[in-house]
Amino acid sequence: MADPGRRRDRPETSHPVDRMIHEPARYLIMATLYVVDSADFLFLERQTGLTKGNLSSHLSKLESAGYLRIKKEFVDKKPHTMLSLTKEGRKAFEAYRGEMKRMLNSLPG
Amino acid sequence: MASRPELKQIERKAYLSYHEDGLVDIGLGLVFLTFGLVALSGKSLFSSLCWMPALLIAPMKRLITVPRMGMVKFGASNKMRRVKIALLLSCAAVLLFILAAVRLESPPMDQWMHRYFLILIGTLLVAFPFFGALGLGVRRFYGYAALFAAGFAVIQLHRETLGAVFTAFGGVLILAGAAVLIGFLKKYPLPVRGEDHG
Repeated sequence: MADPGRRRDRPETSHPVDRMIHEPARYLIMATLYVVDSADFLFLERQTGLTKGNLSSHLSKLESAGYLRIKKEFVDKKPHTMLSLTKEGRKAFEAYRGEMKRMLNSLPG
Repeated sequence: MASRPELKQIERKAYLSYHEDGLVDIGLGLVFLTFGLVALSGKSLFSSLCWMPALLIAPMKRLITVPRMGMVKFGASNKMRRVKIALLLSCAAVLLFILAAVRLESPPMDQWMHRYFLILIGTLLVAFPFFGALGLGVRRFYGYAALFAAGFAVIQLHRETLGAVFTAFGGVLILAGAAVLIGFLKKYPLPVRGEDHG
């Protein structure tokens, strides 16, 4: 996975909706990490129902966008990888939800 | 967005799936069972050690739940929920204390305590699973609250049944916990060890 802080894959668009989060699988990953402090790969796999390869690919994209932080730590003397949203990732997720609500509310009827 | 799961749903799923392993039920069931058996045997010497099976919950969680479900650290919103539950329970305890203080003004105190002490303890024991069910959304805790209420009503009427009722509490909790645990083990088998995707 790419180094944290690299943002090369951030979509350049004038559209107000963040397409990095708009993709359903990535939305689910972001939402799951939004409601917890941090989680490991297996927990995300269980919660999202994504395959290992698919999840890994989406995590890489989110990390490249600077939305995801990867922390290596030791649990019971074994190396363990925990994933969490960056401050920027949380802000982006909140902005995305706000924008989507605003757009849906502005629809006629 | 309307077709997407709401954050509350996602949070509830994350929290419940991690805690729906039945281990807390089994741990607390063992505590009740031990207490009940000690009360039945009449050896009150060991009654202070009855809570010790609760110490098994954390290691069992590490051994059974984490390898199947993965590891998660819950965030501020869950801490807030726990604080709310603690506040509710504290309010219930303070209310009971005030109630007791008002009633205790009329002596003899020990007689009153002897008569109503079990009701106070019973109310607290009912409050724990009830507020737990309310706060965490675990529906079987309502059943435990009802069970405790019925059990303490029996104890209040027939003091000699205390040991048997607590043993029954333990049995029910252990059986319910075991059923939940079996469901959990079936739903989340051990993953095949592969490369580290982290």
